[in-house]
Amino acid sequence: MEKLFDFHFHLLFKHYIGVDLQRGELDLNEDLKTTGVANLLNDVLGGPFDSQSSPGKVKNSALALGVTGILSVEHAFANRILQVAGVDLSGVLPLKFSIFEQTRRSQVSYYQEFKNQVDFHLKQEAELKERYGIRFLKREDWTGKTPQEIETGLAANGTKWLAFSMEGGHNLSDVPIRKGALSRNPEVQLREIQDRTDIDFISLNLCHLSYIPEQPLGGFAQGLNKMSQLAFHSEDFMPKLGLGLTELGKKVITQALTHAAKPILLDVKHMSLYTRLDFYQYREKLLVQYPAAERLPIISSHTGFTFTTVADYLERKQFRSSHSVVAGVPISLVEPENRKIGRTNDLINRGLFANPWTINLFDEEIVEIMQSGGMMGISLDQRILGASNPAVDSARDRYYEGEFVARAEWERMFRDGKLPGEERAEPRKSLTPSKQERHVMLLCLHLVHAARVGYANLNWVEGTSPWNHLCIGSDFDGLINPINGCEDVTQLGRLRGQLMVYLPQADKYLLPNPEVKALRYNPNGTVNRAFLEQVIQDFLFGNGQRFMIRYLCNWHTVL
Amino acid sequence: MITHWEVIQEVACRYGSKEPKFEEGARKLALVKEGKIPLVSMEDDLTRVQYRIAREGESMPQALERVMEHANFQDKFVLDKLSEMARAVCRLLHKGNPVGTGFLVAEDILLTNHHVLETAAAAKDLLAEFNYELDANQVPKDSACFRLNPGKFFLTSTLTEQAGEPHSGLDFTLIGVERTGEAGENLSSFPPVFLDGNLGKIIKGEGCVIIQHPKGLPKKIVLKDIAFFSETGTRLVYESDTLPGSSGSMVVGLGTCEVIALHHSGLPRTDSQNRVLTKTGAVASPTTPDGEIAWLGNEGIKISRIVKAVAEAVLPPTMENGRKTLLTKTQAVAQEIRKATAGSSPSPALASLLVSSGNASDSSFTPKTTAPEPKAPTSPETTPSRKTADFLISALNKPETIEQLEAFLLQRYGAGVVLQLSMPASATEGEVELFHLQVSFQDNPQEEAQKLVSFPQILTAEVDMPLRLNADPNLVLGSGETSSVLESTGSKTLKSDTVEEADFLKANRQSDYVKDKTPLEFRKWNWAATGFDQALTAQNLRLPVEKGIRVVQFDTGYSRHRKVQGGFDFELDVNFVEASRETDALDQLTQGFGKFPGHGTRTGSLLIGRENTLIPQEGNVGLLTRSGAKLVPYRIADSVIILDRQQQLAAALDRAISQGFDVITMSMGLPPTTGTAQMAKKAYDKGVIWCCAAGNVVQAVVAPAVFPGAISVAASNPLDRDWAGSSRGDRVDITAPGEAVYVPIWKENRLGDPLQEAFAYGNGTSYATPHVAAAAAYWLAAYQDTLNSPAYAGWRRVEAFRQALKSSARRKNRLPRKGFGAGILDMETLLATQPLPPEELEYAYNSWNEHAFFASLQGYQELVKTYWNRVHGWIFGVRRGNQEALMGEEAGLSEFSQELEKTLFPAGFRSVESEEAVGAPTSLERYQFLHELILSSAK
Repeated sequence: MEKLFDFHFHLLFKHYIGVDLQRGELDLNEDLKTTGVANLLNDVLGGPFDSQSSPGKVKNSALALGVTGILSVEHAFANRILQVAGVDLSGVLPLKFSIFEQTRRSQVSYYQEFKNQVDFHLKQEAELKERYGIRFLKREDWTGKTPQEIETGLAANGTKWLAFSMEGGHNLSDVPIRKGALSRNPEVQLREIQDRTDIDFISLNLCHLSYIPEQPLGGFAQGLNKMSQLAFHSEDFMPKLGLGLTELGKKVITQALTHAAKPILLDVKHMSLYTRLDFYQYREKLLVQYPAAERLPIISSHTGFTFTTVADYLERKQFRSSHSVVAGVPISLVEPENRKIGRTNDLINRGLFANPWTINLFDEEIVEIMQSGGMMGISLDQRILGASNPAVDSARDRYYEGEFVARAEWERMFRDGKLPGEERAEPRKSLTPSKQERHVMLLCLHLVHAARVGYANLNWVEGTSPWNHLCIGSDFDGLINPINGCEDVTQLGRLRGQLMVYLPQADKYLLPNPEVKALRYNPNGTVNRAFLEQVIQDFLFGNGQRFMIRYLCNWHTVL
Repeated sequence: MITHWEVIQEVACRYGSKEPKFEEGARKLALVKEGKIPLVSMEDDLTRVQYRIAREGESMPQALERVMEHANFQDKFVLDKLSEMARAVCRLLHKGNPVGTGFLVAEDILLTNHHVLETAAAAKDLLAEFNYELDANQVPKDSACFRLNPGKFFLTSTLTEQAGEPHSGLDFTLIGVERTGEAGENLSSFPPVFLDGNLGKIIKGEGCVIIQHPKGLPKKIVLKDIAFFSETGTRLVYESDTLPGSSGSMVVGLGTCEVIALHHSGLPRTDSQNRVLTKTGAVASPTTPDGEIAWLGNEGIKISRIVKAVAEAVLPPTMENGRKTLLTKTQAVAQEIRKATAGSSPSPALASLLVSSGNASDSSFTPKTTAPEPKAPTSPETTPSRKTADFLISALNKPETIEQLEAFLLQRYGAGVVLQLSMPASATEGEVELFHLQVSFQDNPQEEAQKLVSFPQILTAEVDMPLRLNADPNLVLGSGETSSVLESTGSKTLKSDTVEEADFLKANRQSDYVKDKTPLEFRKWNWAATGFDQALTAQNLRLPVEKGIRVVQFDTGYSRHRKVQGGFDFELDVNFVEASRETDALDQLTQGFGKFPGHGTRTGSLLIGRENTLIPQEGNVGLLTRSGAKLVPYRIADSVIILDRQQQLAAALDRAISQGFDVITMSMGLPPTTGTAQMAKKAYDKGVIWCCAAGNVVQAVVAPAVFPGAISVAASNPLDRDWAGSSRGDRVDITAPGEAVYVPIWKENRLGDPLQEAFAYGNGTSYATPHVAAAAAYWLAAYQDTLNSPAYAGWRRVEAFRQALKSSARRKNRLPRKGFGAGILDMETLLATQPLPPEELEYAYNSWNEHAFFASLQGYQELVKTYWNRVHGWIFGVRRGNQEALMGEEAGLSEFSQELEKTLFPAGFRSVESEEAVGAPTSLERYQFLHELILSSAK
C-alpha cells in the first residue's frame, strides 16, 4: 500500500478557525467549504479557504506519517481577513468570528491562543483515533524501543501518526496582542511547553509570516504570495525592521535545543536570509557550550530553493533594490532577477523559473542542513516552487516580483543593488497555454537541485545520499495555493508516477550544476530504474519515516 | 590620453604669472627652516590656523606650541597611520602599462587625475592595482587588480578651466571600483581614506608626504623634508620629489594625517612668456627629460575644492549614495570644528603673532594684518542657502495621520522631506510616537519648530540640535570655574579634579569603609557602602547571566583598557555615532577639542571591571564581573561633552528594547526635552529598567532621570553624605556611591604620548548609576519566576523594581533629608525584597500631567536648551577669550524666545546673547528657574 510522509501541514487549523455557516460548529468529518461569493473568492485566491488536509481527507489519503503545525492566528491576518479587498466579508466567509475578534481587540495573548489550540487538538484526540485512525506522537510513549520496534509500531493497524510543530515564535508571547508591552520571557513559555507531558513538539519556527512587535525574536522573510497580499493587505506582512536574531530569539533557540528531555528542533522556514545565516552561526557557538545539542538536526519543513548561492546572489548582485519611507518607517524592496532553472519539452511554454525570493533556501543552506543530518520538506505551494501567473509562466521580465526586506538587513546585504527603472523591461512574449505538469516538473527540479548541490559539496559514504534529506512539506491548509494536480492531501498518491516521469527529465534539463548528475545511469545511458524508485520512495516516505524514528529515539539514533 | 608635457604646459601657462608669489613662499620656508621666523608666520590665513589648532584637541597654548614648536617631532603613530593610509593607494594600469596613481576615497570609489582618466569610456581598459609594493625583504607583495566601474560612480573635472563649467579645471576623476578583484580578491581589504573638505588640515610650513607610484614603480613615499609653502585658489604648492606616474597620488599633511591634495603636476619655472625652463635656463621642449626641468615645486588640487565639486555636481540618482559617502567625513569634521571653535574669536596672542608675522613679510600678496571675523566653517554641502534641519516631532502613529502629515510637509517644504519614526521597532500603532523629521529650508529652525505645532497633527516639535551632556565633571576640565559656579549659587565647594589617594584617605579617614582598611579594601569602598560585598557571597544568589538578564550601557563605547578587557560584549555592541562603523562601539579615544575619552570605560568598569590586572595601583572590581556577565556597549556619543542628535539616543533605545535587554545604564544627562520625555516613557511602558544619573553640578535633576519612567540615581560619598555636586530633588529614587569612586582612567601625557592605563578616584552621579543597574540585574534574576508572569508585563516590571529598591534602601545615612530618594542602595536587603503584587503597583505617570508638561516645554524649550548648553559649555567646556561658548551652530535666539526671555528675567535684563554675556552664575540660576518652571507644569 502506498505510504506518504508530509513534513508540514495543518490538520485542524481550519476546524479551529472555521464554522459551518448553517449549523455553527464544524464537525470533524466536515470540510471547510466556501460557497457563493466566498467560493468565488476562494478560487480567485488560489484556494486558501477550502480544506486541503482535514481529518476526512487525511483518512482517505496515503498519508501515513507526518507533522501537523499549530499556530495562533496572527494579528495581521485577524485584522484584515474579514475585510478582503476592502469589502467586509465577515458574514460571507465560514470563519469563527470570535477568534479573529479577540486577536484584533487584544483580548488574548498569542500564547493563550496557542494553548487553546493545543487543547482543541487534544480534545479531539479520541475521536481522531477512533474515526480517522489518526494518532499523535509523543517521544515518551516510545521510550526504550529500538528503531525496528518503532518502525513496526508505526506501521501497525494502518494508523496515521502525526507529530506536532509550533509554527512561529509569536505563539510564545504571553502579553496581550498589540498592546504595546513586550513579551520578555518567551523561553519560559517554551520551557513550559517542553515540560508538558500531554503533548510533544518536534520543531519550532522562530518566525512566521508577519511582524510581531511584542515578540521580536528574529527577522522574517516575506512569504505571503501576491494574491493573499491582496486579500489580507497589511503592512505587517512586509519585513521592515530588525537585523538577524535578537537576544530574545537566542534565548528561545537555546531553550529549544538544550531542554534535557525534550529538545525541539529549529525550523528555519520563514526566517529572513540574514536571520538564517545568523542562526547557523549561533547554533555553532551553542554547540561548543552544549555538545549534546549536536545531534539535533536543522530542518526546513516546507521550503523551495533559490537555485543559487548566497555568495553569487550578493556578489554578482542578481537583484536590484530600492528604498523609501512609508508611514514613517523605512522600507526596502529587493527585486531578484528571474532565474531560469530548466525547461520542459513543451515548445511554446518552455522555460521554468525558480522563485528567487530569499524565503527559499540558498545552496549553502542546503549543504548546512544536510550536514546537520537535517531534512527539507519541499513545499507544494506553487508560488514557492516558482510558478507564476499560469498564463504567461515561461515569459518573464528580467526581474521577479519585489520582496520587502528589513531596512537594516537591506543595508548590510542589498544596498548596492540597482535602482528600479534603470533598465527597460524586456518585451513580453505572447501568451502560451500552461500544462499541469509544469508544476510537477518544478518540484522535480527542486529535488534534483538539492541532490546535485549535496553531491557537489559534501562527501557521501555508502548508504547515505543527499536524497536522504528531502521529503514532502505540503503546507496544506496553511492558506496556500497548491501545485496543480496536488490540490489536497488525497491527491498526493499521484506523485509517485509523476516523479517517475519527470525526475529524469529534471536531471536532464536543470541548468545549475550541469556537470553533476543527481540520478544514476546505466552504461547504455538509460536511467537506473532501481535507484530512481529508491529515491522516490525515500522522498515520499522513507526519509520521513527514518526522521520520525530518530525523533522518537530523541535524536540519539542516526539511521 | 593627455601627455605629461601637456600637463606641464598647462601648469606653466596658468601659473607662470604667479611665480613671484611661489618664490616668496619658498624663501619664507627657507627662513622657517633656518629658525629665523616662527612657523605660524608662514600662514596668512588666520582661519586656517585656527582650525588647524582646533584639530589638535588641546587647549590653546599647548596646541599652538605643539603646532609651532614640535613640527619636527612627529608622534610615532603618524607612521602607523601613514602606513595604513598607503594601503588605499594603487597604480592604474592601461592595458598593463602604468599610467598613474590613484587612491580609494570611499569603500569603492577611487580618486585620480582627469589627465590620467578622462572619460567613463576610457575606464574599461584600466585596472586599479593595489598592494603593488615591496615587503620588508624587498620582495613584491601579492597585488590585487580591480576593474573600474563608472556605472557605480563617475565624476570628472577637466585639466583646463572651461568657461561656464563650474568646478572645471580641477583635473580630477572620481570613479567606482568593482568590489571583487580579478582573482576574487576583496576590495574591502584596502581601507579607503575618506576626504575631509574642511580647512586647517595643514598650515604653510608644515610637512607633507606624497604616497605614489612614480613611473609605475612599486609604491613609494618621500621621507625627505618637504613642506607646503604656497597656494592658489585651487592648488597647494609644496616641495617634494615626484616623477611622471605620480599623477593622482595622495598628498598627506603630516601634522594631521589628512589628505590635503590630489597630486597633479610638477610646477616648473617659466620665462616671461610662461615657457617652461630647464635648469640651465633654456626653454624646455616636450623631449626634455624631467630631471633637467627647473622645478619650483609640486602642485596638487586642494581636497576642499574637490569635495565642494562633489557636493555641487549634478549626478544621476544612482550615484547619490556615492556622493553621500564621499561627503560624510567632511560633514562630521565640520561639526567637530564647529564645536571646538564655537563662539571663539582667535586668541589675541595668536592674532598678535600673525600681525607681527605679517609685518615681517614683504610679499607680493596682501597679508591680512588684522584678525578676520571668524567664519563659520563652511562645509561645502551647506553652501546653498537652504539648510537641512532636523526636528523631533510627536504625532499619532496611524497611517492616515502620517499620510496627512506627509502631505502637509510636502506642501510646506517641497520634495526632500524625510519623516521617519524615531523608534520604529518599538512603535505601537495608534499611540503617540516620536518622529524624526528632516527638511531643508531657510529660516530659523527654532521658529519653525513653533510653527510646526500649529499643524493639528503635530503635538510637539523641537529642533534636534546638538546638546551638551551632563556627565562627570571630574577627570574632565576646569576645576576653578566649576567651583565658582557653585559657590556663587550657594552650593558647597566641589572637588572636581582627580583626587590623589593621599587626599582621598585624608578626607575620608572617618569613613567606616576606609578607616583601618587595606588599599584593596578601601578602593572597593563602594561595595561595602551598598552591601554588594555581603549580598554577592550569599549561597542562593541567582546570577543575571544564568537568567539571561542583560545590561546595556549608553555611553561613549568601550576601550581596550586592561581593566575592562573581556567585559564588554563585542558581538552585540552598536555604534550609533559613526554610521560607517555601526557594528563597533569602540571609543576611539580621539583627543579632540573638548573630548575626554574613556567615559564608557570608567562607568563600565564598575559593572564589569576585572579583578586583577597588571596595572599599578590595582583596585576595585565590577559588580557583575564575578557573575560572568558581559556589558553591551551602545556608543551614543563620541565624548562626554555633546550628544549630536537626540535621534541617536532614540535609535539606541529602540534597539535595546527590541533586542529584549532588561536594564539600561546611562551615566549622561540632557536637559528635559520632548524627545527624552517620550523615550523615558517608552522604556517604562516596555518594561525596560533605565537607570539614569541624576546629574552633576547643575543641582536640578537632568533628563531622562527627571522623568517618572526612569530610575534616577544621586551620588553619595564614603562618609555616606551627599556628594556636593550631585543633582537632588523629588525625582531622585535612590542614592549610590558617586564621590571618590575608584575607576580606571587613561592618563594623558602632555605632548600626546600614548595614553597610559591608570586609576583615579572619580566623582559623579555617572558612577552612582551603574551600582543601581547591577542591583536591577541581580534583583530581576532573583525574582524572575515571579516577574515572568504576564501580570508584570510592561511598566509593572520597572515599577516593581523601583518600589523594592526604595523600600529596601538604607535610611541610616548622613544624606540630606530631602532630595536623595529613599536613601542609599542596600543590596542585601534589596535581594530579600519581593516584588509587590502587581495590583499594588501604581503607574508612575498617573501623577504626571504630560499634556501640560509638553505644552509648557514647547514654549520654553529653546531657552531651556540654550541656557543648558551655555551652562554646560561653561562648566565642562573651555573658556576662550572672554566669551563662554554657546554652541557654534546656534543661530541666535528666535524672536519668540527673546521676548520670552525678557518676560522671564525682566530685572536688569541682559540677554543670553548680549555683548556683555550673562555671567555663568546667572545662567545657571536662570537655567534652574526654567527647569523648575517646566517641570512644575507636569505636577
